[in-house]
Amino acid sequence: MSGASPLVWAGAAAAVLGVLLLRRAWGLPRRSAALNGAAWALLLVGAALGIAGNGAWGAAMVSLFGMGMAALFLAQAAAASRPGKTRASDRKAHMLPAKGEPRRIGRRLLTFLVTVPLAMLVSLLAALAARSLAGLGGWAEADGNGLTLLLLPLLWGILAFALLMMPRRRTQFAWLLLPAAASLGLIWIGGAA
Amino acid sequence: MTGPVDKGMVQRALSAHAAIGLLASALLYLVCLTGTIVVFYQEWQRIEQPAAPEMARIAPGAVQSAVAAVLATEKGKPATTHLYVHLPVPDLPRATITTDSQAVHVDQTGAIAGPEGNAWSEFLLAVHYRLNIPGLVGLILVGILGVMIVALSLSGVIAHPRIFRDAFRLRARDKEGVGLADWHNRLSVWSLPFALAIALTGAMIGLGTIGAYGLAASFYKGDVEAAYAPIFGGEGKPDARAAPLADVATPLAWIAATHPELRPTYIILHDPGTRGQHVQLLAEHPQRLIYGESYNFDANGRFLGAVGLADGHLGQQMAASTYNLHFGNFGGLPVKFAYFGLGLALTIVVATGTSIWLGKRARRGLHEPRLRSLWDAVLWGVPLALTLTFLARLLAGNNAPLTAIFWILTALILLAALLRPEPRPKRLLQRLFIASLVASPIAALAG
Repeated sequence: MSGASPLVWAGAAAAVLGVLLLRRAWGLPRRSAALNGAAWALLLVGAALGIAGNGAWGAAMVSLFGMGMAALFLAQAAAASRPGKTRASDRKAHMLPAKGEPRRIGRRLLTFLVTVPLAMLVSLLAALAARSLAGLGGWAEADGNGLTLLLLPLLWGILAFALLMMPRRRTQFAWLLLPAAASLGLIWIGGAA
Repeated sequence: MTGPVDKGMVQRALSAHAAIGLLASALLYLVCLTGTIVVFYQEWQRIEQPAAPEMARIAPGAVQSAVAAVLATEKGKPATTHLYVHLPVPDLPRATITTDSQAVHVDQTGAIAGPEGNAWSEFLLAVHYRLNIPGLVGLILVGILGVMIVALSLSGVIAHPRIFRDAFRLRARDKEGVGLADWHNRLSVWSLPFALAIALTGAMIGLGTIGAYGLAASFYKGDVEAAYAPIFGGEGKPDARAAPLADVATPLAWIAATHPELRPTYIILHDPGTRGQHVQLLAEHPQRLIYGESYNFDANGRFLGAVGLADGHLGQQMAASTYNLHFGNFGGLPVKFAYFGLGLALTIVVATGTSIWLGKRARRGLHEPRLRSLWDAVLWGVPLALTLTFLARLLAGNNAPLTAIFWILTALILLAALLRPEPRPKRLLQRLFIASLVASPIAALAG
């Protein structure tokens, strides 16, 4: 931290204070919108001060302070906790079939295909389509290519989760095919331009 | 409806969370654990080879002599295409020269001091980077694990509607799964920004090749180098005809004179001793996430220009920031310790996830000793195998086959757990792990 801008230090203090306030707010018997809002505002101000002070490096440092403060609170909660008798959850995750239930291997394999290779392919096409749009919008090549490298894993993570949330196979395929078709069109336009 | 998220959605999110988590839990655990340990990559190298010459800085003339001395040892061998000089930095105050066929330390005068011996550090990095799988397959596989952490973070938040409200509640001593679930949920909430940052940057590094191939196929007629060039700069035109060795001292003197606030970290000499040779000097910028800026020079040491990683396009700055943000080497030891703690938290989150799932099944009356035993073998057998591999490095030397030792040990532990699931191997593995952990610093100090 030697050499850090004073704004980063101020941001770190705001993040620490934000976590303190959150703990207070979430410990109240009734939700306090004012206290909650103040806590989240402090965390945002902390991040903004970090960015204003030393850019992305400042924001990273500020977030480490916030997470560090939370870790201290957790350590305190762990140290002070007493053995309890609360019954643990046995919520079913429906990962493996129960006794007597069919295994549905084909269905599971199809889900894997949809969320891993197909979702990856669609995410790649969408990331390339974004590069195409960036090019058409006059962005620099470095920005467009950087955007593609960022979007591929980000879109894939979000899409894989979204697909798993869909109860119908038909909806899943629609969410794969429509973006893929639109992306291919955009890539073709951008590549030809 | 229960507040903003309905029950069906919560249940589907829980199923998604379990499906993604269980699909790759063992590999996720291995990558998170090795990532946590490899935060101290530079420090491991100093532990492995404590006698290597160290220095705060090295004179430009000494670097020039060292480069010439190293290349002189390679006469008659196939010419190296790249030569890297690691310059002394506070975390690793050593000068090391790496070519296509060797790596040696040099002393402050530029004389060769001896071969580099960092097999453990390199092994650890290779497990984390690509699970020791050669080529791009391992790298891509690890990148996919990064994507999985992104999806797990999203599904975890949706599957647990009270996860933020309970963020400070930790019933650490509750038995029967409550304590385990609390550790899993609390650590995951508070390490969420960290988890998302390292998962996304890790996935960007791992899947970068796929993105680059896509860019090349769509916009650069299949030329992958051309896809990377706008971000990291292009390679020079090779010309294999012999030429006097390039001047690497002048670039070092130039950076010291023109940018005294920067810290040179690497000199990269492309195609040394040929007419096509050129010099790249990598320098760290203080209070930045970028790994450095590349300053290009011709063979005579004349400055040609900077690539723009520090102040060029946003895409360049972002791409250059992924490595330091992922590995935590942007703020010295305090940040490394913070990354170690957060990495450990993420490793515990991955470990407890599967344990919670197994616990729920056991509470529903499903007796699965083999599954339980195998998970014990992953949780405690992998750290045990890693520690024994480190001991093998210390006792058998730098040439010990560390990759084979680690994977054979891991396979044997898993096989034993599969064949003899009861009594549970957890206690035995824990004891062996602690014994090997205690033995490690003793062996390191004993030299």
